[in-house]
Amino acid sequence: MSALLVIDRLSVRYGSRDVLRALSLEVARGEIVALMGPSGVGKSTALRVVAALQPFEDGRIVVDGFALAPGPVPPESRLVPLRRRVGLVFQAHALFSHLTALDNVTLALRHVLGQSPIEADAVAEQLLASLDVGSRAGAWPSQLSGGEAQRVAIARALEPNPPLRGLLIATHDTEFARENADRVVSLTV
Amino acid sequence: MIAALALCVVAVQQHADSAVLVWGGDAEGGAPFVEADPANPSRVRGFDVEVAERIARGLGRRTTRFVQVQWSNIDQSVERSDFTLGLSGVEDTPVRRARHAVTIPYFEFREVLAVRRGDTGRIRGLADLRGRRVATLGATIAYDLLLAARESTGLIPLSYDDDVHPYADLVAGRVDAVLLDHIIAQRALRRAGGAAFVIQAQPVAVGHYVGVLARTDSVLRDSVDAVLREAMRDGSLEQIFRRWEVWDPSQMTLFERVTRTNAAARAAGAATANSALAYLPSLARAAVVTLLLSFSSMALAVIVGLGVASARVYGSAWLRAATTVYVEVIRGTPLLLQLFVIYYGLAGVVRLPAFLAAVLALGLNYAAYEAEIYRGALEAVPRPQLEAARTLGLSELQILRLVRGPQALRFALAPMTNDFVALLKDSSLVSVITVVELTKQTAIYATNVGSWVVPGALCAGVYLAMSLPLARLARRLERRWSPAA
Repeated sequence: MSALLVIDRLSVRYGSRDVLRALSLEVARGEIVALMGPSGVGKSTALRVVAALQPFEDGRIVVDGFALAPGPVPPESRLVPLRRRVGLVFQAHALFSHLTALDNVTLALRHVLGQSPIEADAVAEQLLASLDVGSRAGAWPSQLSGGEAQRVAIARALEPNPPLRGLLIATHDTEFARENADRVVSLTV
Repeated sequence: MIAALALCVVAVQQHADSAVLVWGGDAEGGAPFVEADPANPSRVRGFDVEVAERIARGLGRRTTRFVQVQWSNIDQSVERSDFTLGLSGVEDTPVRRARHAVTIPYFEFREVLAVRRGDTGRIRGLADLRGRRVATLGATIAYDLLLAARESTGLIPLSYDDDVHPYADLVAGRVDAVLLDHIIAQRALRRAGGAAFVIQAQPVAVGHYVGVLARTDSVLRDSVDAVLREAMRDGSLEQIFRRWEVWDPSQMTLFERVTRTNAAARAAGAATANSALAYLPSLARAAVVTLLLSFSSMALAVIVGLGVASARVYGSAWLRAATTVYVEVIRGTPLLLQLFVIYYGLAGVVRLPAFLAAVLALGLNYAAYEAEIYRGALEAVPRPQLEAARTLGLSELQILRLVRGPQALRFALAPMTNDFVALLKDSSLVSVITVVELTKQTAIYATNVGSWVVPGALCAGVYLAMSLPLARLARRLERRWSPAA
């Protein structure tokens, strides 16, 4: 079976500083991988590059058949296949501050996948409940605790159902990562 | 110490004043009344200047000193003691006589109609102007005549702040007739080359120029009257008018009548100033104009502002440069100048109606400020919010519509409300292009009653009644949109 994600000799520089030098990694479908290391080694950078949020200088990335080349990040219109394949949970959650927890989760369901509001609400409510934050569906992001916000952010990243998901949870807390990765797996199996 | 010094200054000033006749007028009104001397612009010349000098001589004053004042403010300034005597084509009206010490008339003028050459046979009097636009200076007898005629003949009076643009607009076809003093009409005709329009021979009305003094100065006024009568008898007034080519036989008739009867016209002072109540409907109409103007301009400002802001945030380098130039040019030049350019400057290319020109000028001006607000608000949306939206697969347009726009709107709401309240008040500037809105209507009202106290308070009340609910609405929206902390 071919790898879901291939990172081949990836190099990323911020100015003159090498953040990643020749990082290579392969992840098979259904596999759970944790990138661990102290602050500043480039864990988040690697995830951001895979999600095409920032350019890289050298190497090659293939996500489920979609290849990213070194150089500037391509325009959003050319990244549609990648967006369907990668879900990302940000370190600071980055929940949309003007939407409730439920609306954060349904946004992509409705506007990317074209689901009806009723359909999307039902899916999102079920997912939030399975992550133990079902009662917080109507809360604003500023009303959520750090843990709650992270669960909502996970729900949002899982919703469009990308094949590459649990992988891209970046956190300093490896215990938490493992715990959540398990949850994600148990949800999606 | 400072008080003592101030007293000394006042004392010296008063001593100097006893030798000098300080008089006020509007040199912007121009020749032949009062104008800056082309040979020495720090001095003024004109027949009113010479009348003032003749009065000073008759009163035994050594010399005269001229104080520049806006024509419509002469009455208020003379009551404030900015000067002793106001002269500059000041009209003899019952209200003025009731409120100030007014001299005998020293010049008789005719209110004459100016029309385009093609209309010479068609428009002979106010009765021929049903449904047509007639221009004049605001707060004059001519304007009152037009207002009265609006009821009876259905003409449309337009008030201007100066006496040059009414004729320019007549030639340009923006108005169908101009009603003003014959001296002003003749001067405008000479300026326009003598063939640009026609002055109808039959006057619409007759009026008189007078000098105006503070109400408490009636003793000095009687002395001025004596000097004027003397100047009529000894021919010095006639010489002045002949020198400025404004002499005609009707002045002789006036002189004979005035020197014969003492204080003839004083009985006219019985007319009382209209009560505030009578002005309320016109103030209400003007407030509606202000509101319509402000809402239309703001709508235009928001639409253009959004376009410019989007171009500055998302556009190509060329588009960004072009919109930056727009914003800087508009912000860097006075709104008044932009109004003039759009209304008068573009008249050769496109002849915009005054209201439309006002909306365009205000809207395009405020669009520059709005654009900067929106640009700042768009850029204030945290980058992770946009990245999160991107990873979800939303297109750039969807991100703007669903994430960036709604979040930016919250940042923009407070400065936008601020701008709208400012626009509400800046809309008073458009009176320079003949749109009579709230402030202009108040100025006309104040001139008519000779005081700013009641009109000013009423006007301020109406502005507050319009702006306070806006501020409230904005606060409510802000509260509703801000997620509870």
